[in-house]
Amino acid sequence: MALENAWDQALGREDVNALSAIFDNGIVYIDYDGSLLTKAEYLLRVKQNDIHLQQVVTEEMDVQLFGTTAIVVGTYRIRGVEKGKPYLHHGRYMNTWVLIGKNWICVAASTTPILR
Amino acid sequence: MRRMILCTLLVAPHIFVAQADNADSIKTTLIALENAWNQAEWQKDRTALDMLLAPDLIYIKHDGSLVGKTTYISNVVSPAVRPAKIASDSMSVHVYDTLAIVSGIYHESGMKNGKAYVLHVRFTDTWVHRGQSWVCVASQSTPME
Repeated sequence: MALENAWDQALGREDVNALSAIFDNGIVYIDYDGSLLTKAEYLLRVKQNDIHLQQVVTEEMDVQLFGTTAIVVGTYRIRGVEKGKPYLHHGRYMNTWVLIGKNWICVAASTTPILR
Repeated sequence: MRRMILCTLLVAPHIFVAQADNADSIKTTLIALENAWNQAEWQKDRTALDMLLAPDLIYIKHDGSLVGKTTYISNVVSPAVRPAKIASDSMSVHVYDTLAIVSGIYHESGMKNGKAYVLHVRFTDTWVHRGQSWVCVASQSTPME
C-alpha cells in the first residue's frame, strides 16, 4: 500500500524517475479506454504533462498475496484535464506486484470504468 | 479431445515445465491455457473452468464489477448466455519465475437474456504456478474505445 501511495505521489509530482523505479521494464499497462501502453509510453505521457490531475480519491484498496506476488485491487475517482478537456473517471484498478530481489516491482496495471 | 488436452496441460504441467524451464515453453503453455479457457467458456464446461481458475480468483468484469470464482463460473454456465463467438488475439506473455502476465484482446458476441451483445475488451490475466499447475489468480477486462 505504501508503494501504491508512492505511485500516486510520484504521479502528482510528475516524477518520472520515481515511477520508473517502481515499474518493471516489461510492465503491461492498460488504460481506462482499453489502450495498451509500454513503460516508455506511460512515462512519456506523464513527462509530456498531458494529464493534469485535479482530484484523486481512492475509495477502497485491498491486497491479496500469492507467494511473492501481490495483487492490489481498488476503486478510485479522478477529476482532471487531459489535452485541455476536463474528465471524471470512476474506475476499478488492479495492480500486480512481484518481489524481485528485495524490491516489489509493478509488472501489470489495468483499470476498468465502473458502469454501475 | 479438447478436454484431454486441457487435462494434460493442467494435471501434468510438469511435463511442460520439465521439458524446458525456459520462458518460451511457459509462454506456449499459457497461450494454450488461455485458449482452453475460451473453449471452456464456449462449452460451458464448469469442470474445466474450475481447474483453470484459482479458488481465490479476483475477477474484474468489463463493467468494472468485482466477482469471485463462484460468481464468474455461474455467469459463464448460465443458460441465459448463449455466445456465438469467443476468440482472443494479440496475446503476449511476460514470465517472472512462478508468475506470468498474459494480456490480449478478447472478442465475444452472442445473445444474453434474449438480447444481442458484443464484447470487445483488452484483458490482463495473472497466472501463478502452484504445485505443479499454472492457475489464473486474477483477471481484468477493459472495454476498448
